[in-house]
Amino acid sequence: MRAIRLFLSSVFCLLLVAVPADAEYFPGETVDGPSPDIGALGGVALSRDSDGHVIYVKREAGANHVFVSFLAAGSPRQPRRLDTGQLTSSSQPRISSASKGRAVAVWVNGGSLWASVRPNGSSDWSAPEAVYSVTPTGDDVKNPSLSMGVSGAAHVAFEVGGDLRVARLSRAGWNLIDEPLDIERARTANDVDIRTSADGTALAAWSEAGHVYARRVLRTRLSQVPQEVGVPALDGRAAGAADSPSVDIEDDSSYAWVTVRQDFDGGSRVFARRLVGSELEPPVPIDTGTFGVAAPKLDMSGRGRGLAAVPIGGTNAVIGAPLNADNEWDPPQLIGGESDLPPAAVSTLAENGRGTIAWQTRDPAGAPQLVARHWNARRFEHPITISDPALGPVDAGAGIDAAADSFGNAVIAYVQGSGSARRVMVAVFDRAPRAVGGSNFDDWTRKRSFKLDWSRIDDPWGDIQYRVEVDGLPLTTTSRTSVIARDLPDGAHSYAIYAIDSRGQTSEGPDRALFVDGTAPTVEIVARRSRMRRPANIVLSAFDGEAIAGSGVKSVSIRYGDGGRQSLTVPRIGLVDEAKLGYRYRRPGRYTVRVEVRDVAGNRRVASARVVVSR
Amino acid sequence: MPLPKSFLQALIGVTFLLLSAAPAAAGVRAETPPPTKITKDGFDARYLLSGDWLQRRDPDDKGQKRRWFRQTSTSAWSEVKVPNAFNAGDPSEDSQRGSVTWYRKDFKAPSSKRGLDWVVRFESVRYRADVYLNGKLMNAHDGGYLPFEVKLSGVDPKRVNRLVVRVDNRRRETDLPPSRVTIEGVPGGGWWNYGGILADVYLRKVDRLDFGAPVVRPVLPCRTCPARVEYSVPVVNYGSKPLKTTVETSFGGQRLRLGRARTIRPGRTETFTGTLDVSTPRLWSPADPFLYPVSIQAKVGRRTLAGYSLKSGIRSVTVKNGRLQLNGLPANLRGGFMHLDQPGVGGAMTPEGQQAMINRLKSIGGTTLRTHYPFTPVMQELADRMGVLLWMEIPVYQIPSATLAKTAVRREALSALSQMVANSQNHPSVFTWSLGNELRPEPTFAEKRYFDQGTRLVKQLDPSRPVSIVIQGYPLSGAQSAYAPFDLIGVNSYFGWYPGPGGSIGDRDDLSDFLDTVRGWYPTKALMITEFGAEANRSGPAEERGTYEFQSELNDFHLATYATKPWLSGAIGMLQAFWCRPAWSGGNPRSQPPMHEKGVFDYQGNPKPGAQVLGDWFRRTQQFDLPEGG
Repeated sequence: MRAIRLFLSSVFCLLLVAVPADAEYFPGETVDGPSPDIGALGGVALSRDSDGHVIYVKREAGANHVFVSFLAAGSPRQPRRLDTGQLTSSSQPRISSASKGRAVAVWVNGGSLWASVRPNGSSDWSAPEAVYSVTPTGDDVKNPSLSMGVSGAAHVAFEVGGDLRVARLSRAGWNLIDEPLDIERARTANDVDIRTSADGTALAAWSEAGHVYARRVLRTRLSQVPQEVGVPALDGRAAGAADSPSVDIEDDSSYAWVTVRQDFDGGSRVFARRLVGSELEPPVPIDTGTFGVAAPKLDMSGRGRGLAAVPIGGTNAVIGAPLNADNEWDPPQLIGGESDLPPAAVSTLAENGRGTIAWQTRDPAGAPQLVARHWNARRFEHPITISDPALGPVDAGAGIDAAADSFGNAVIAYVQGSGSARRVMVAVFDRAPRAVGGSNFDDWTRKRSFKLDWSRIDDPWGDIQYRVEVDGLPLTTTSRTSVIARDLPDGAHSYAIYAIDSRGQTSEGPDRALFVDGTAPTVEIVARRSRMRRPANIVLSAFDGEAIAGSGVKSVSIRYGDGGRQSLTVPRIGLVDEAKLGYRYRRPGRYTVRVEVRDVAGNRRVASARVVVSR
Repeated sequence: MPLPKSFLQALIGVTFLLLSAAPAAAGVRAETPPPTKITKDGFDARYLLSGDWLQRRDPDDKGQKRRWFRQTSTSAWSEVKVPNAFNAGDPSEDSQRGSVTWYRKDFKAPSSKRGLDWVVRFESVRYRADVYLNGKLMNAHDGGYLPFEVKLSGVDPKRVNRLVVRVDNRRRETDLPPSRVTIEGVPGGGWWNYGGILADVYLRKVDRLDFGAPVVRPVLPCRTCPARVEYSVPVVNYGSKPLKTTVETSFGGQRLRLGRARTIRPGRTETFTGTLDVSTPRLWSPADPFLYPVSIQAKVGRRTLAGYSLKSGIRSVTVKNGRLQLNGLPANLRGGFMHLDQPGVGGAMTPEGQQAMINRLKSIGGTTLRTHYPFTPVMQELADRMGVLLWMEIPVYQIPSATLAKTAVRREALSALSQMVANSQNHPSVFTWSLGNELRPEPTFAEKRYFDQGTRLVKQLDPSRPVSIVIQGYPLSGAQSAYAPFDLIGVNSYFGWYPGPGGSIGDRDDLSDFLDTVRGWYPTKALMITEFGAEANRSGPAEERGTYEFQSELNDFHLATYATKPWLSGAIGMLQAFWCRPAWSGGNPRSQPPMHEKGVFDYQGNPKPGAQVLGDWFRRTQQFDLPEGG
């Protein structure tokens, strides 16, 4: 058995090495460091309109402090300290964001919960504000979970003295809800996870004395119908304790999912339950039927698609479970091989239904590294190493987090390096620009210049450049959406648009055709002496260049000089090859035969010949 | 053995007699329509053709090929009462997709006098109608909600006549409203695609002279001013000789002759105009819906050849300083959105059903009704009489830009607009002409062109009412110059119910700021909320969408917010449930398709708790005669 495991692990490692990096993942950039003062990662947020923030703890002036770095196009900017004015150590920072730059951060300092807000359209963060102040004899705040909805309302849930509390941020400021979130104050509650919907409603789930509960937070009050998420039995096996809930909620807050781990006869299982209105639907296992799975992580889009990462206890393999529509899970799949390192897997899903699962494993040299697999809405793509081995081992214990926007971009934040070489890092999945096709010119034309135009590609992470190639040769690279191709020689040409984003990713559009024929067809007419009332001895040939060089003869009209006219039926191949015209003159005489030949592009050639007709 | 010739002749004769007698199906026999009028406004010489008809479903659309319009026997036809929606009560996808059904009425002309013309008037056939008389196609009509008339040639004054109507409600992309398919792949649409002869049918007798659409327009320059009544009465001569015609009218007993006698040549129309002053008018308002009886006669010598009756109300509706004004003072209307939909009969709503709808509105203190298409003539008369204001709209409903960019579609829409104005402008209850509902939030050239053409047309036809459009209340859409030609903008406001694009309207707390933003965008337009609400079909936790409790709370929140906007000209909630479309959920996690259940009355007309909420707010809101300042 062990041999098989080792074999599978080796194969998985080889796969990581052998497969070329997917163009859309980019290795991490340093947010802060290298420095021995880098502490734990607090998290990463990416708004739907693509503004990002990374929050972490760093030691400064003898104490741990909270720093945030703005991510512009996924690249970190100069970090700034958030817990300004606080001299004692801060810990457990969390961050979440809405759109238009609005974001919120919380952290624990002196046992109290503090917050700072970045308002819409501003780059400044507000001064620290206490959300929950600890009393001299009171318990400290622990393990906050923070979520800001797309419309800007936010909730933070946290542990204090064995209870769970919730505070809500609205345009009026923070409001601490009087009533504890947990069911019974006498029991210890922890593990809280909370998400805020577009309508400002939140859903929280937590562990409490071996049970997992979910409860809505409706502005300043708690739901009166909390639900127990754990089940009494699954697949005929009696259940034990449940824990490790992970929640997410749609833009329509009627629909939310909770994933939990629960003990059953035979080991632990992970399943998901959808909350519809105020009732939970039956559980859907998302663990491939494997026993011994551990705490899942779930992320959902506002439209009800989701992606869950489920680590398997003991083997540390990773299961990926996509929620394909708002109530249909795709079959869960094993996406990460076995390892002696706990994977600390995280998942994120963009509004376009594409997502990332990232986790820790060992590189071939045995150092901890970070790998990711992209869920392209149909399948998981090959695993990619997103940490740079040259920067030292990944410290998953210091935190890994991932977030996605509405375009399909994602950021994965982590801590890497040891000793004085510790860094906060952020790797990105930068969605490659979509392919763009230019306008078609399917008809032969006499003009040699073409205005080629195409539709603009929106990319929140930088301008798109368009490289235009004609017949495989570069014509220009421009940020505009049109260009003029001039002086094209006769013949069939093709052009293609290559869209290039700010990270150099290129998408090639389909080949489009350009047909140029500025040359008139050639005509040969040979007229020999003929006799009246017999077929005239006139032979006609008309060509329009070789094969694709010319558009082909389209029409041939003949005037025989005695009032007689004829239009030849031109074969579809577009040439007339020594056609005997067979015209019968009624009277003897000398006649001029005039032939007008037009090609498909509209070029015209006139030729004539004299014919003598005798009795 | 060959049959004797005399026997054959006798057989043919008997057959002919049998056919010409055209015995109807059991219980339905050819009858002479009575001079009954369900609606009082309209032509005097009308005979009610509604009632017992024959019907034949044609799901495979073979009737035309098989010439059902020529069928004289009644085999395969079944009895039906008209008005009739042939798919009422059928919630299937096929029902929403539409099909073909034939209707037939065998009748005898009410007068055997020769030289008369006969016109059949349909008040609503949805959607396409081919009208046959005695086996011949008379005319065809497209469009579902507006009355139309077909001149019947060949009415036999002495025998049974066979009126056959082929009704086709299969939707096309270019129809109003257009066909839609939902993301689930089922036929879509904002309300049920009822097909059939949905309103009354009349047979009109025309004795040489006939009216076009008479206009009787009271003009009230100020609240205490004398009123002037403007007349514009087109008269057509269907006779074969020129007729020296006079037009006389009476307005509340005050008589007037419209100009001098004029000779109308055969086939021509002359428009008679005139004005009449009412020195101390009693104004029409929802509090006192006073109506003046009006009669119009077209005469030749002393003989009246055509008559038209209506009830008029003197009132003014204007937009001043960004406020809607009724009779010169600002208004802040409250009302309900509804569809013509009634259990058992679907879209062929009975007059009693329409009366009940108005009663429900009145029971919660509402004064305004809106739907996505022109109200029926019955509803317009009821509204006149009961003091209800009607938002009149044509079904240019969520039409994609690419469709509206088609000239044919815009032409259809403009035609519907002009018909709506022509049919309804004498009703004092009608307070605005709306060009449509929820077109693209960021208008393209297609919408702009339609808005420009449509507003110009309507203002030309009726300069006395504001012209309006209804938009989706989306913060992301921004101010749009395309709405410049409108006087009144309706905003559908679903903050806290639907998430909207990118969740942008999900949070109801954003409603107040959004409304102020819209006011900033359009400071000179009157602004009304034209839809708001939440689905509700059960009792349950207030936190759960779809419960009565949630609906009540959200409606209360919205109305409380509207009450803080003194510049607002009105708010229209959802009055009653109706059939929407297959698979409709409308944001309710426990929906009951096809039912749309945002109404505060259920489909049967029972009040939900939300009716009380609307009632409380509506009754405590001063809706009329507000001070100028707000």
